[in-house]
Amino acid sequence: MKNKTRVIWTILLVGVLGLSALGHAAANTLTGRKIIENVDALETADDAMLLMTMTLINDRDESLVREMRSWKLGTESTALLFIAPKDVAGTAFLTVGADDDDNMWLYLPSLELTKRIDADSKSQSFMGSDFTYDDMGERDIDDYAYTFIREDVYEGQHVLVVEGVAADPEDTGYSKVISWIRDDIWMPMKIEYFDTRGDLEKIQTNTRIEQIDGYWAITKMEMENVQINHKTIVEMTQMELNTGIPAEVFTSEALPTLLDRIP
Amino acid sequence: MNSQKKTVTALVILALLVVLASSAWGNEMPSPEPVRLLVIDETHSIQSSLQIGQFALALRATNLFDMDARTNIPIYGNSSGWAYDLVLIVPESPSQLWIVTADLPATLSPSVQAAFQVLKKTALLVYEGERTLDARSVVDVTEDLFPAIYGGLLVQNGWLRLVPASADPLLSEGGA
Repeated sequence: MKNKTRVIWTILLVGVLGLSALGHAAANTLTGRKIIENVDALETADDAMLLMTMTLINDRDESLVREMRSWKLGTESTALLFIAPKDVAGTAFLTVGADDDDNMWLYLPSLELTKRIDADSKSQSFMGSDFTYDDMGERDIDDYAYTFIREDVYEGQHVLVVEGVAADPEDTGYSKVISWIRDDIWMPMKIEYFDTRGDLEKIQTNTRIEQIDGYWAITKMEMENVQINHKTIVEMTQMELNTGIPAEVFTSEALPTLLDRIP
Repeated sequence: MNSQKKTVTALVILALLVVLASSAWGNEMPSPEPVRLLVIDETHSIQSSLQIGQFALALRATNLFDMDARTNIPIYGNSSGWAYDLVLIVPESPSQLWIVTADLPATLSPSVQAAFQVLKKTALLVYEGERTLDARSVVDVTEDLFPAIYGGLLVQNGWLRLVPASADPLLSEGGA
Protein backbone atom coordinates (compact mmCIF):
# COMPACT_ATOMS: atom_id res chain seq x y z
CA MET A 1 0.00 0.00 0.00
CA LYS A 2 2.80 2.38 0.90
CA ASN A 3 4.58 1.59 -2.37
CA LYS A 4 1.37 2.24 -4.31
CA THR A 5 0.91 5.61 -2.58
CA ARG A 6 4.52 6.49 -3.30
CA VAL A 7 4.05 5.66 -7.00
CA ILE A 8 0.87 7.76 -7.19
CA TRP A 9 2.57 10.74 -5.58
CA THR A 10 5.57 10.33 -7.88
CA ILE A 11 3.34 10.27 -10.94
CA LEU A 12 1.48 13.34 -9.70
CA LEU A 13 4.72 15.16 -8.95
CA VAL A 14 6.22 14.32 -12.33
CA GLY A 15 2.97 15.34 -13.99
CA VAL A 16 2.87 18.72 -12.24
CA LEU A 17 6.53 19.35 -12.93
CA GLY A 18 6.09 18.29 -16.53
CA LEU A 19 3.11 20.55 -17.07
CA SER A 20 4.85 23.54 -15.57
CA ALA A 21 7.88 22.86 -17.72
CA LEU A 22 5.61 22.65 -20.73
CA GLY A 23 4.01 25.97 -19.84
CA HIS A 24 7.40 27.53 -19.30
CA ALA A 25 8.59 26.12 -22.59
CA ALA A 26 5.49 27.54 -24.29
CA ALA A 27 6.21 31.01 -22.91
CA ASN A 28 9.82 30.62 -23.90
CA THR A 29 8.89 29.89 -27.50
CA LEU A 30 7.34 33.33 -27.67
CA THR A 31 9.86 35.96 -28.65
CA GLY A 32 9.50 39.60 -27.75
CA ARG A 33 8.69 40.35 -31.38
CA LYS A 34 6.06 37.62 -31.53
CA ILE A 35 4.38 38.93 -28.39
CA ILE A 36 4.17 42.44 -29.85
CA GLU A 37 2.92 41.02 -33.14
CA ASN A 38 0.14 39.28 -31.22
CA VAL A 39 -0.83 42.61 -29.68
CA ASP A 40 -0.66 44.32 -33.06
CA ALA A 41 -2.78 41.60 -34.68
CA LEU A 42 -5.60 41.96 -32.18
CA GLU A 43 -8.87 42.12 -34.01
CA THR A 44 -10.35 45.58 -34.21
CA ALA A 45 -13.70 46.83 -35.38
CA ASP A 46 -14.13 48.05 -38.96
CA ASP A 47 -14.97 51.48 -37.59
CA ALA A 48 -15.47 53.15 -34.24
CA MET A 49 -16.89 56.38 -32.84
CA LEU A 50 -15.54 57.34 -29.43
CA LEU A 51 -16.49 60.04 -26.99
CA MET A 52 -13.61 60.81 -24.64
CA THR A 53 -12.56 63.09 -21.88
CA MET A 54 -8.96 64.07 -21.38
CA THR A 55 -8.01 65.41 -17.95
CA LEU A 56 -4.68 67.16 -17.54
CA ILE A 57 -3.36 67.35 -13.97
CA ASN A 58 -0.33 69.49 -13.18
CA ASP A 59 2.10 69.37 -10.28
CA ARG A 60 -0.18 71.63 -8.22
CA ASP A 61 -3.07 69.17 -8.66
CA GLU A 62 -4.90 71.68 -10.87
CA SER A 63 -6.87 69.96 -13.59
CA LEU A 64 -8.11 70.90 -17.03
CA VAL A 65 -10.71 68.78 -18.81
CA ARG A 66 -11.10 68.51 -22.57
CA GLU A 67 -13.89 66.67 -24.30
CA MET A 68 -13.23 64.99 -27.64
CA ARG A 69 -14.95 62.86 -30.22
CA SER A 70 -13.02 60.48 -32.42
CA TRP A 71 -13.94 58.57 -35.55
CA LYS A 72 -11.76 55.66 -36.62
CA LEU A 73 -11.74 53.64 -39.80
CA GLY A 74 -9.78 50.43 -39.32
CA THR A 75 -6.34 51.20 -37.97
CA GLU A 76 -5.20 53.74 -40.52
CA SER A 77 -7.63 56.64 -40.45
CA THR A 78 -8.59 58.75 -37.47
CA ALA A 79 -10.52 61.99 -37.27
CA LEU A 80 -10.43 63.72 -33.89
CA LEU A 81 -12.54 66.69 -32.88
CA PHE A 82 -12.30 68.79 -29.75
CA ILE A 83 -15.74 69.67 -28.39
CA ALA A 84 -14.90 71.48 -25.15
CA PRO A 85 -13.74 73.76 -23.62
CA LYS A 86 -14.60 76.74 -25.77
CA ASP A 87 -11.05 77.78 -26.61
CA VAL A 88 -10.35 74.50 -28.41
CA ALA A 89 -13.88 73.61 -29.60
CA GLY A 90 -13.92 72.85 -33.30
CA THR A 91 -10.18 72.12 -33.54
CA ALA A 92 -9.89 68.93 -35.53
CA PHE A 93 -7.17 66.51 -36.62
CA LEU A 94 -7.12 63.95 -39.38
CA THR A 95 -4.58 61.19 -39.81
CA VAL A 96 -4.73 58.98 -42.86
CA GLY A 97 -2.26 56.28 -43.78
CA ALA A 98 0.15 54.00 -42.03
CA ASP A 99 3.33 54.85 -40.23
CA ASP A 100 5.84 56.92 -42.16
CA ASP A 101 3.38 57.56 -44.93
CA ASP A 102 0.93 59.19 -42.56
CA ASN A 103 -0.85 62.23 -43.88
CA MET A 104 -1.96 64.59 -41.18
CA TRP A 105 -4.19 67.65 -41.32
CA LEU A 106 -5.30 70.16 -38.74
CA TYR A 107 -8.34 72.44 -38.81
CA LEU A 108 -8.19 75.71 -36.86
CA PRO A 109 -11.70 77.10 -36.34
CA SER A 110 -10.50 80.57 -35.31
CA LEU A 111 -8.92 80.96 -38.76
CA GLU A 112 -11.31 78.66 -40.64
CA LEU A 113 -8.13 77.14 -42.02
CA THR A 114 -7.29 73.53 -42.84
CA LYS A 115 -3.60 72.81 -43.19
CA ARG A 116 -1.26 69.90 -43.70
CA ILE A 117 0.99 68.98 -40.80
CA ASP A 118 4.44 67.42 -40.86
CA ALA A 119 4.43 63.75 -39.94
CA ASP A 120 7.38 64.32 -37.60
CA SER A 121 5.09 66.45 -35.44
CA LYS A 122 3.67 63.22 -34.11
CA SER A 123 6.33 63.02 -31.42
CA GLN A 124 5.09 66.33 -29.99
CA SER A 125 2.77 66.61 -27.03
CA PHE A 126 -0.88 66.02 -27.89
CA MET A 127 -2.69 69.25 -27.02
CA GLY A 128 -0.54 69.90 -23.96
CA SER A 129 -1.11 66.41 -22.53
CA ASP A 130 1.43 63.80 -21.50
CA PHE A 131 0.58 61.73 -24.57
CA THR A 132 2.28 62.42 -27.88
CA TYR A 133 0.34 62.12 -31.12
CA ASP A 134 2.22 58.86 -31.67
CA ASP A 135 1.16 57.62 -28.23
CA MET A 136 -2.48 58.29 -29.15
CA GLY A 137 -2.27 56.47 -32.45
CA GLU A 138 -1.00 53.21 -33.88
CA ARG A 139 2.69 52.68 -33.28
CA ASP A 140 4.87 51.09 -35.98
CA ILE A 141 6.19 47.88 -34.42
CA ASP A 142 9.19 47.98 -36.74
CA ASP A 143 10.47 51.06 -34.91
CA TYR A 144 11.72 48.86 -32.06
CA ALA A 145 13.73 45.66 -31.51
CA TYR A 146 11.97 43.49 -28.92
CA THR A 147 13.20 41.20 -26.16
CA PHE A 148 11.01 39.02 -23.97
CA ILE A 149 12.16 39.81 -20.42
CA ARG A 150 10.06 37.63 -18.15
CA GLU A 151 6.63 36.48 -17.06
CA ASP A 152 5.10 38.40 -14.21
CA VAL A 153 1.90 39.15 -12.37
CA TYR A 154 0.51 42.68 -12.54
CA GLU A 155 -2.71 43.75 -10.86
CA GLY A 156 -3.57 40.07 -10.44
CA GLN A 157 -3.12 39.30 -14.13
CA HIS A 158 -0.50 37.08 -15.71
CA VAL A 159 1.60 39.25 -18.01
CA LEU A 160 4.56 38.99 -20.34
CA VAL A 161 7.12 41.75 -19.94
CA VAL A 162 8.69 42.89 -23.21
CA GLU A 163 11.39 45.46 -23.78
CA GLY A 164 11.52 47.38 -27.04
CA VAL A 165 14.69 49.29 -27.94
CA ALA A 166 14.17 52.04 -30.48
CA ALA A 167 16.09 51.82 -33.74
CA ASP A 168 16.01 55.63 -34.01
CA PRO A 169 15.28 57.33 -30.66
CA GLU A 170 15.19 60.77 -32.27
CA ASP A 171 12.40 59.59 -34.54
CA THR A 172 10.32 57.78 -31.92
CA GLY A 173 11.05 60.22 -29.10
CA TYR A 174 11.93 57.28 -26.85
CA SER A 175 15.06 55.19 -26.45
CA LYS A 176 13.17 52.26 -24.97
CA VAL A 177 9.70 51.10 -23.97
CA ILE A 178 8.86 48.26 -21.59
CA SER A 179 5.40 46.71 -21.82
CA TRP A 180 3.46 44.50 -19.43
CA ILE A 181 1.11 42.51 -21.68
CA ARG A 182 -1.77 40.26 -20.67
CA ASP A 183 -1.23 37.11 -22.64
CA ASP A 184 -4.83 35.95 -22.33
CA ILE A 185 -6.17 38.87 -24.37
CA TRP A 186 -2.94 40.42 -25.78
CA MET A 187 -3.54 43.84 -24.32
CA PRO A 188 -0.89 45.96 -22.60
CA MET A 189 -1.64 46.82 -18.98
CA LYS A 190 1.34 49.06 -18.38
CA ILE A 191 4.01 50.68 -20.53
CA GLU A 192 7.13 52.49 -19.37
CA TYR A 193 8.68 55.01 -21.73
CA PHE A 194 12.32 56.01 -21.52
CA ASP A 195 13.57 59.28 -23.00
CA THR A 196 16.39 59.60 -25.51
CA ARG A 197 18.90 59.76 -22.65
CA GLY A 198 17.65 56.44 -21.30
CA ASP A 199 15.90 57.90 -18.24
CA LEU A 200 12.38 56.85 -17.29
CA GLU A 201 10.11 59.59 -18.56
CA LYS A 202 6.52 58.34 -18.56
CA ILE A 203 4.39 55.49 -17.27
CA GLN A 204 1.18 54.57 -19.06
CA THR A 205 -1.31 52.54 -17.06
CA ASN A 206 -4.34 51.13 -18.84
CA THR A 207 -6.63 51.12 -15.84
CA ARG A 208 -9.74 49.84 -17.58
CA ILE A 209 -9.73 47.22 -20.29
CA GLU A 210 -13.09 45.83 -21.30
CA GLN A 211 -14.79 43.93 -24.03
CA ILE A 212 -17.29 45.86 -26.11
CA ASP A 213 -19.34 44.13 -28.77
CA GLY A 214 -16.78 41.32 -28.71
CA TYR A 215 -13.73 43.56 -29.11
CA TRP A 216 -11.20 44.25 -26.36
CA ALA A 217 -10.62 47.94 -25.80
CA ILE A 218 -8.73 50.19 -23.40
CA THR A 219 -11.43 52.50 -22.07
CA LYS A 220 -9.40 54.32 -19.46
CA MET A 221 -5.71 55.07 -19.43
CA GLU A 222 -3.37 57.27 -17.46
CA MET A 223 -0.07 58.68 -18.59
CA GLU A 224 2.16 60.03 -15.88
CA ASN A 225 5.24 62.05 -16.72
CA VAL A 226 7.47 61.24 -13.74
CA GLN A 227 10.05 63.85 -14.73
CA ILE A 228 7.71 66.84 -14.47
CA ASN A 229 5.08 65.39 -12.11
CA HIS A 230 2.23 65.80 -14.59
CA LYS A 231 -0.52 63.34 -15.41
CA THR A 232 -3.13 62.90 -18.13
CA ILE A 233 -6.18 60.67 -17.85
CA VAL A 234 -8.07 59.68 -20.99
CA GLU A 235 -11.40 57.99 -20.52
CA MET A 236 -13.85 56.70 -23.13
CA THR A 237 -17.36 57.63 -22.09
CA GLN A 238 -19.07 56.26 -25.18
CA MET A 239 -18.02 53.79 -27.84
CA GLU A 240 -19.98 52.70 -30.89
CA LEU A 241 -18.49 50.09 -33.17
CA ASN A 242 -19.18 49.03 -36.74
CA THR A 243 -21.85 51.65 -37.42
CA GLY A 244 -20.76 52.25 -41.03
CA ILE A 245 -19.01 55.62 -40.69
CA PRO A 246 -18.84 57.10 -44.21
CA ALA A 247 -15.39 57.36 -45.76
CA GLU A 248 -15.95 61.07 -46.48
CA VAL A 249 -15.52 61.77 -42.75
CA PHE A 250 -11.84 60.92 -43.19
CA THR A 251 -11.05 63.68 -45.67
CA SER A 252 -9.45 67.06 -45.04
CA GLU A 253 -12.55 68.70 -46.57
CA ALA A 254 -14.71 67.22 -43.82
CA LEU A 255 -12.72 68.66 -40.91
CA PRO A 256 -14.58 72.01 -40.74
CA THR A 257 -17.89 70.16 -40.65
CA LEU A 258 -17.16 67.62 -37.93
CA LEU A 259 -18.77 69.78 -35.24
CA ASP A 260 -22.01 69.60 -37.23
CA ARG A 261 -21.91 65.80 -36.99
CA ILE A 262 -22.39 65.91 -33.23
CA PRO A 263 -26.00 64.93 -32.49
CA MET B 1 -4.37 79.23 -19.79
CA ASN B 2 -4.36 81.99 -17.17
CA SER B 3 -1.89 84.06 -19.17
CA GLN B 4 -4.08 83.64 -22.24
CA LYS B 5 -7.16 84.81 -20.37
CA LYS B 6 -5.19 87.83 -19.21
CA THR B 7 -4.21 88.51 -22.81
CA VAL B 8 -7.79 88.35 -24.00
CA THR B 9 -8.94 90.59 -21.13
CA ALA B 10 -6.24 93.13 -21.95
CA LEU B 11 -7.24 93.12 -25.60
CA VAL B 12 -10.91 93.58 -24.81
CA ILE B 13 -10.05 96.57 -22.62
CA LEU B 14 -7.88 97.98 -25.38
CA ALA B 15 -10.67 97.50 -27.91
CA LEU B 16 -13.10 99.28 -25.60
CA LEU B 17 -10.65 102.17 -25.32
CA VAL B 18 -10.48 102.38 -29.11
CA VAL B 19 -14.28 102.51 -29.33
CA LEU B 20 -14.47 105.11 -26.57
CA ALA B 21 -11.80 107.19 -28.27
CA SER B 22 -13.69 107.05 -31.53
CA SER B 23 -16.92 108.09 -29.84
CA ALA B 24 -15.10 111.14 -28.42
CA TRP B 25 -14.97 112.52 -31.95
CA GLY B 26 -18.71 113.09 -31.98
CA ASN B 27 -22.12 111.77 -30.97
CA GLU B 28 -22.98 110.61 -34.46
CA MET B 29 -19.69 108.80 -35.07
CA PRO B 30 -20.25 105.81 -37.34
CA SER B 31 -18.85 102.56 -36.00
CA PRO B 32 -15.51 101.89 -37.61
CA GLU B 33 -15.46 99.05 -40.06
CA PRO B 34 -13.45 96.05 -38.97
CA VAL B 35 -9.91 96.22 -40.19
CA ARG B 36 -9.20 93.64 -42.88
CA LEU B 37 -6.52 91.24 -41.74
CA LEU B 38 -4.97 88.41 -43.76
CA VAL B 39 -3.14 85.74 -41.74
CA ILE B 40 -0.65 83.69 -43.72
CA ASP B 41 0.42 80.58 -41.82
CA GLU B 42 3.32 78.87 -43.58
CA THR B 43 4.22 76.63 -40.65
CA HIS B 44 3.82 72.86 -40.66
CA SER B 45 4.19 71.75 -37.06
CA ILE B 46 1.30 71.06 -34.73
CA GLN B 47 2.65 73.28 -31.96
CA SER B 48 3.10 76.34 -34.15
CA SER B 49 -0.28 75.79 -35.78
CA LEU B 50 -2.11 75.50 -32.49
CA GLN B 51 -0.40 78.65 -31.27
CA ILE B 52 -1.57 80.56 -34.34
CA GLY B 53 -5.06 79.26 -33.64
CA GLN B 54 -4.97 80.60 -30.10
CA PHE B 55 -3.52 83.89 -31.36
CA ALA B 56 -6.36 84.22 -33.86
CA LEU B 57 -8.88 83.47 -31.12
CA ALA B 58 -7.48 86.36 -29.06
CA LEU B 59 -7.67 88.66 -32.09
CA ARG B 60 -11.29 87.69 -32.80
CA ALA B 61 -12.18 88.49 -29.20
CA THR B 62 -11.30 92.15 -29.87
CA ASN B 63 -13.95 92.42 -32.63
CA LEU B 64 -11.52 94.73 -34.44
CA PHE B 65 -10.70 92.46 -37.34
CA ASP B 66 -12.33 90.92 -40.37
CA MET B 67 -9.96 87.99 -40.71
CA ASP B 68 -9.05 85.58 -43.51
CA ALA B 69 -6.32 82.98 -43.56
CA ARG B 70 -4.25 81.01 -46.04
CA THR B 71 -1.17 78.80 -45.94
CA ASN B 72 1.04 80.49 -48.52
CA ILE B 73 2.06 84.00 -49.51
CA PRO B 74 0.21 84.99 -52.70
CA ILE B 75 2.70 85.97 -55.36
CA TYR B 76 0.17 86.40 -58.13
CA GLY B 77 -2.25 89.25 -58.65
CA ASN B 78 -5.39 89.52 -56.53
CA SER B 79 -8.36 89.23 -58.83
CA SER B 80 -10.97 89.09 -56.07
CA GLY B 81 -11.04 92.85 -55.54
CA TRP B 82 -10.82 92.30 -51.80
CA ALA B 83 -7.62 93.80 -50.42
CA TYR B 84 -6.43 93.85 -46.82
CA ASP B 85 -5.32 96.59 -44.46
CA LEU B 86 -2.86 94.39 -42.57
CA VAL B 87 -1.13 91.12 -43.33
CA LEU B 88 0.38 88.83 -40.73
CA ILE B 89 2.89 86.26 -41.96
CA VAL B 90 4.11 83.36 -39.83
CA PRO B 91 6.89 81.83 -41.93
CA GLU B 92 8.20 78.29 -41.60
CA SER B 93 11.57 79.93 -41.01
CA PRO B 94 13.12 82.12 -39.73
CA SER B 95 11.64 82.22 -36.21
CA GLN B 96 9.93 85.50 -36.80
CA LEU B 97 6.43 86.83 -37.19
CA TRP B 98 6.03 89.56 -39.82
CA ILE B 99 3.41 92.28 -39.52
CA VAL B 100 3.13 93.67 -43.03
CA THR B 101 1.59 97.04 -43.83
CA ALA B 102 1.21 99.01 -47.06
CA ASP B 103 3.28 101.84 -45.66
CA LEU B 104 5.00 102.91 -42.46
CA PRO B 105 2.65 102.33 -39.49
CA ALA B 106 2.71 106.01 -38.56
CA THR B 107 1.22 106.92 -41.96
CA LEU B 108 -1.69 104.50 -41.76
CA SER B 109 -5.21 105.69 -41.10
CA PRO B 110 -6.09 106.00 -37.38
CA SER B 111 -8.34 102.96 -37.33
CA VAL B 112 -5.73 100.79 -39.04
CA GLN B 113 -3.03 102.22 -36.77
CA ALA B 114 -5.08 101.31 -33.71
CA ALA B 115 -5.64 97.80 -35.03
CA PHE B 116 -1.96 97.52 -35.89
CA GLN B 117 -1.07 98.37 -32.27
CA VAL B 118 -3.47 95.75 -30.94
CA LEU B 119 -2.09 93.19 -33.39
CA LYS B 120 1.52 93.96 -32.46
CA LYS B 121 0.88 93.92 -28.71
CA THR B 122 -1.02 90.63 -28.94
CA ALA B 123 1.70 89.07 -31.06
CA LEU B 124 4.36 90.13 -28.56
CA LEU B 125 2.39 88.61 -25.71
CA VAL B 126 1.82 85.34 -27.53
CA TYR B 127 5.15 84.87 -29.27
CA GLU B 128 7.64 86.61 -27.03
CA GLY B 129 5.94 85.95 -23.71
CA GLU B 130 6.52 83.19 -21.21
CA ARG B 131 5.26 79.65 -21.83
CA THR B 132 4.97 80.19 -25.54
CA LEU B 133 4.76 77.03 -27.63
CA ASP B 134 6.51 78.61 -30.60
CA ALA B 135 8.83 81.48 -29.67
CA ARG B 136 9.34 84.06 -32.42
CA SER B 137 10.48 87.64 -32.64
CA VAL B 138 7.74 89.95 -33.84
CA VAL B 139 8.81 92.51 -36.44
CA ASP B 140 7.08 95.02 -38.67
CA VAL B 141 8.13 96.98 -41.76
CA THR B 142 10.19 99.41 -39.70
CA GLU B 143 12.20 96.67 -38.03
CA ASP B 144 13.08 94.10 -40.65
CA LEU B 145 13.56 93.77 -44.39
CA PHE B 146 11.22 90.81 -44.89
CA PRO B 147 7.99 92.59 -43.89
CA ALA B 148 9.05 95.61 -45.95
CA ILE B 149 9.73 93.51 -49.06
CA TYR B 150 6.47 91.60 -48.74
CA GLY B 151 4.64 94.85 -48.10
CA GLY B 152 5.81 96.14 -51.48
CA LEU B 153 4.96 92.88 -53.22
CA LEU B 154 1.49 92.59 -51.72
CA VAL B 155 0.62 96.21 -52.51
CA GLN B 156 1.83 95.76 -56.08
CA ASN B 157 -0.29 92.62 -56.52
CA GLY B 158 -3.38 94.13 -54.98
CA TRP B 159 -3.44 92.17 -51.71
CA LEU B 160 -2.65 95.10 -49.44
CA ARG B 161 -4.49 98.39 -49.60
CA LEU B 162 -3.69 101.78 -48.19
CA VAL B 163 -6.77 103.57 -46.93
CA PRO B 164 -6.25 107.33 -47.12
CA ALA B 165 -6.52 108.97 -43.71
CA SER B 166 -9.22 111.30 -45.05
CA ALA B 167 -11.42 108.31 -45.75
CA ASP B 168 -11.05 106.98 -42.22
CA PRO B 169 -14.37 107.22 -40.32
CA LEU B 170 -12.43 107.98 -37.12
CA LEU B 171 -11.61 111.36 -38.63
CA SER B 172 -15.16 112.17 -39.64
CA GLU B 173 -16.43 115.52 -38.36
CA GLY B 174 -20.04 114.37 -38.10
CA GLY B 175 -21.68 115.52 -34.80
CA ALA B 176 -18.59 117.06 -33.16
